[in-house]
Amino acid sequence: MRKIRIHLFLISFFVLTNLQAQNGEASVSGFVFDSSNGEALIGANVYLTGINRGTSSNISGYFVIPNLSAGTFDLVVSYVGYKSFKQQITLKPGEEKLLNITLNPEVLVGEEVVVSADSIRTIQKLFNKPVSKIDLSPVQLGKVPQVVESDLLRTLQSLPGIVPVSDFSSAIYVRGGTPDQNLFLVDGTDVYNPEHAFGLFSTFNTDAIKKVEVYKGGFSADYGGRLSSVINITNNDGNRNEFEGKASLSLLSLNTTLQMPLGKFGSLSGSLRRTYIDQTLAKIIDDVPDYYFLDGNIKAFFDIDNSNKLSISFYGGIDDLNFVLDKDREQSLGFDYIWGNQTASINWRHIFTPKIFGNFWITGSSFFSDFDFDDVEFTEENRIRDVTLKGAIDYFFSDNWTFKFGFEEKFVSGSLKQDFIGGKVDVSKKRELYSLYLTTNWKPSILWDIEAGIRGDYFNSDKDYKNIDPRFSVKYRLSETSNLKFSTGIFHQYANRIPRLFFVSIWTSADEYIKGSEAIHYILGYQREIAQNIEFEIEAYYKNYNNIYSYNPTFLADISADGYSDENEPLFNSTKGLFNRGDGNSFGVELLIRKDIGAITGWFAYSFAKTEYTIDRINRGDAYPPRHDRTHAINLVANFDLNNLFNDFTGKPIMKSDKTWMLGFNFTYFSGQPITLPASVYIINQAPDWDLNTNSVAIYPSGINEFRLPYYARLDFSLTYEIQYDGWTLSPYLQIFNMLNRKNVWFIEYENEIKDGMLKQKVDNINMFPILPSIGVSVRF
Amino acid sequence: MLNIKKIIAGLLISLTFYACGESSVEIGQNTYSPKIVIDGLLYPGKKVENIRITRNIPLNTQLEPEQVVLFTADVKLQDMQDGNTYQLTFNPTNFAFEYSGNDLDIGHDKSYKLSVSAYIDGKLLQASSITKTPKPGFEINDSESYIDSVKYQQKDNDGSDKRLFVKFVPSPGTEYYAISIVALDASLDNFIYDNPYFEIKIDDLEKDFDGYKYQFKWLQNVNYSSQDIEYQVEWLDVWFYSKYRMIIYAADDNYRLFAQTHKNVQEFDGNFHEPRMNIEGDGIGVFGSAITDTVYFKVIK
Repeated sequence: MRKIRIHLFLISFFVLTNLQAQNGEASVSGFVFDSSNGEALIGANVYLTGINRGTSSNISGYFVIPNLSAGTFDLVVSYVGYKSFKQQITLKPGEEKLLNITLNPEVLVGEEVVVSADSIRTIQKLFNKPVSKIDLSPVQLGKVPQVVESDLLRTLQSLPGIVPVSDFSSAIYVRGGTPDQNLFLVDGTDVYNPEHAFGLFSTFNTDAIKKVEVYKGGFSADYGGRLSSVINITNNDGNRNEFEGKASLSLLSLNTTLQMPLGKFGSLSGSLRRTYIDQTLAKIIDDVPDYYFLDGNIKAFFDIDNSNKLSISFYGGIDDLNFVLDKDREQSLGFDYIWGNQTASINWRHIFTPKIFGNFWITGSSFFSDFDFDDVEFTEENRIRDVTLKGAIDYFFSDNWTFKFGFEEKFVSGSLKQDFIGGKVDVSKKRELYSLYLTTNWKPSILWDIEAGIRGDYFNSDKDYKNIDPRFSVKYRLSETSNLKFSTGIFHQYANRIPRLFFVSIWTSADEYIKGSEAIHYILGYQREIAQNIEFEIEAYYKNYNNIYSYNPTFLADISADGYSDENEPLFNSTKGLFNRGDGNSFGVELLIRKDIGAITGWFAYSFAKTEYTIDRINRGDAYPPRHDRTHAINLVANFDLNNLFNDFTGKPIMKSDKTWMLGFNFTYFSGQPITLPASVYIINQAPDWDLNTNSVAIYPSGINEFRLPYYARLDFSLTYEIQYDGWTLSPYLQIFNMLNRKNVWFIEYENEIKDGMLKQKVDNINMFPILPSIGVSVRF
Repeated sequence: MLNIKKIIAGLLISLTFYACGESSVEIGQNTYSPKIVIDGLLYPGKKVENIRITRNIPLNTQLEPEQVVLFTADVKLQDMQDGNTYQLTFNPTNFAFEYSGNDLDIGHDKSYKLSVSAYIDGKLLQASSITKTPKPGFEINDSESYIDSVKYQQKDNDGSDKRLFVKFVPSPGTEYYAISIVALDASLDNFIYDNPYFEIKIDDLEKDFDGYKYQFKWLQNVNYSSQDIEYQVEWLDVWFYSKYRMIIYAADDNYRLFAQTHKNVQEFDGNFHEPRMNIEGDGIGVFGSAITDTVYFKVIK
């Protein structure tokens, strides 16, 4: 019955569409490509200037301007970093004009870089953008100086509203949410643990990335399953014109990305990255562990015909650590730890009619980790597998009214097996998530843009959860140079991640002990074009959370066995006792001034934020700020094209040279993060039969996160020299992380000392990264 | 143009100022709040004694017993079965409270409430806790155990490790068993320096001598309906060529909460969290109950 209803719905959908086509109204649609490599350009602005109507290309590069009357129009297509495309088009009554538009990069050696006056205005680009969305290109990712090499997640940490918890983690906390509340999608596929090297680096190879879209909140009904944010990463489809390569060597890794055309039918892109300290430093220095990570991806794009595009994408990554405490001792304590992600996706894009664009995926994601600490008889096996079918149909009913209908079926299985002295953990679960959503976008006039959507979830677990999530956003043009935006919505999440500092995180799902989590977002934003190509945005938000879960640090006192093995060892098959349930709220104000074009590019960001959680069994049930609560955060990312710096200041044209010096700075300031300090000590023995001894002193903590660490600040620097010759580009670079070597406190270590009747606590500040200079080189051909 | 230059110059100076230097955390008195510390267990069939009532101490304090021990505290034990209350008195020889009368028998599977009130820094504080004693039945099964003198890392004829182990019958309803292993003759001289695991220098040993001498292990979520629970002594439990005393505590939930959490208050990222202690009011520590059994073994060269 359900299938019949869906079929009826689809049939009526297509009939309606075709009726529209027969009304004599014309349309112009097509794809926007980069002329240099044939890559589809996401978010290019397509405009008919005379009648002030336009749209932007979607994630496949597709656009449509429907319901046009017959006539002649000036079509302008623009995209940051590319020369604008202009063409006069003539439409006959009922004509469905299909155009494949190619944009030329605006920087050719020796040529003047023109920021064309007829490009779409900054304020228009801001208006087109959804609330709380930030786009980043691979060029921008590569420019921000980082630890050893560019890293997507660390770059995101310099955006307003996104903070890290320490230098040692690439995990991101978005507007008070925890890292498990972020949805990471790579070519449409969920990635569960996007970290290498215990969280130091992310799994995303920036050389393979084509575009990153970050939704910090208030996202549309297209996305679900997470409370806080969406990070949607699209990898390169591949160069459709010619063979192209890039190789990079940093102190950490060797990285290669290759792209090539597949005849006229498509393209192929692949990248491979491997760290090499296991082959170098680890063989010389005993204290350096035998560790490496390797990751790679391959993506094939098939341009089947004008109406059908297909891409197939794979990603695989592995981390391997073989640790020996004392390499000189035959039975020294040591362990093996290996973990990794694999993802695959098939994406079919189909133009049913110019007004109906379909996007369909089959995706698979798998994460595994195996830990073997034989000396203490501890082993762990952690698995998560996800197969998803999803689709979305865009229906461009009219120029000012569009619909999007989508579905998602997700089948997830996860298991955690631990074997240790005195017990066994064996939690194996299968879950299903079915989602349907409908979004409509209506532009009643050029001043207004209203989007409403609804998403329904059915989560099949030990206990079933059904939720309806309404989403709503409205955009209003206040003046020629300013916009006002508002967004709200309800969001649900059915998976929680148990963070572990050394071990990779474990995911669990909502079940009879853990309810689904819920958040409500309210976001109000104001945007202004403060000068040509300078964007100003300010957003205020309020979020509240219900049924959020934090890892129970005293779970050893709460877990109970679900059964016993033949050897009388307790078996643990559930998540009972692993989490503490709670609620919370976050609010804040974020300011962003951004410039993407010119000799000086970058952004200035400030955010004020407050987050409070109230979690059972923590802080006596009173509200407390979590560790990632940073009241004030300031980021300044500035990149200078030194050859053109003077030209930019004096208003002269900017010239592209075959030898370029690029200078980059990244300044970060955060208020001190909350910390729980020791409040006092007391004398007590763990076992009643022990004599008083030096270990009889225990620490009792203060109120949870009652205090704050000193502020965190850091200045990073990068200098790149780019030489172009005969189609080759060589870019040696120097990066200095924390160039002024500020000692930022990470945490405090205490040691009790009893000397001459005096009980003292030796306090050691453990600092984050000191100054970290690094060099590297990349070659493009 | 001049203004822009000034702004940029000012900005660079500010950034440089903020992004260099050193930050540090000092711990002052502002973190302190006074607490009564309870440290005592009841043992069915045994006298009520060794109930230590002390106070917590601000950080970096001169440690004088009279400043720590609350010898004037009012300490009462109530038998929850009949409601009778017994006044405990301070014994200066062991700095602990005890009941000196003969009219109190601690029984199995019974509830007792300890109430403490004391003045700390001129302020009256109160704390109380209830324990339910374990049911009878727990004992080490000597005939099924292998507890003897063994050579360090001794191998069997087949080359496998010769392991010491105890088998015991659990107490019905009791899931938590704490194991205390103490090297009775521990010294710097008989430390096992040539262990196969890692190098320990004498300086490091001096600093953490007690950490090697006193070993604490546990079994929890034990299947108490079984008659045959085994604990195997690991080579990592013994660090001296010495005689060892091993006491197994069949302990109540109060002790389990305390033992599993009171030392594990600092997380991997350095932040602290609260221990779990079943004490009401202004108290910390443990008031629990247990049944014990003891064995001895020896590790020789």
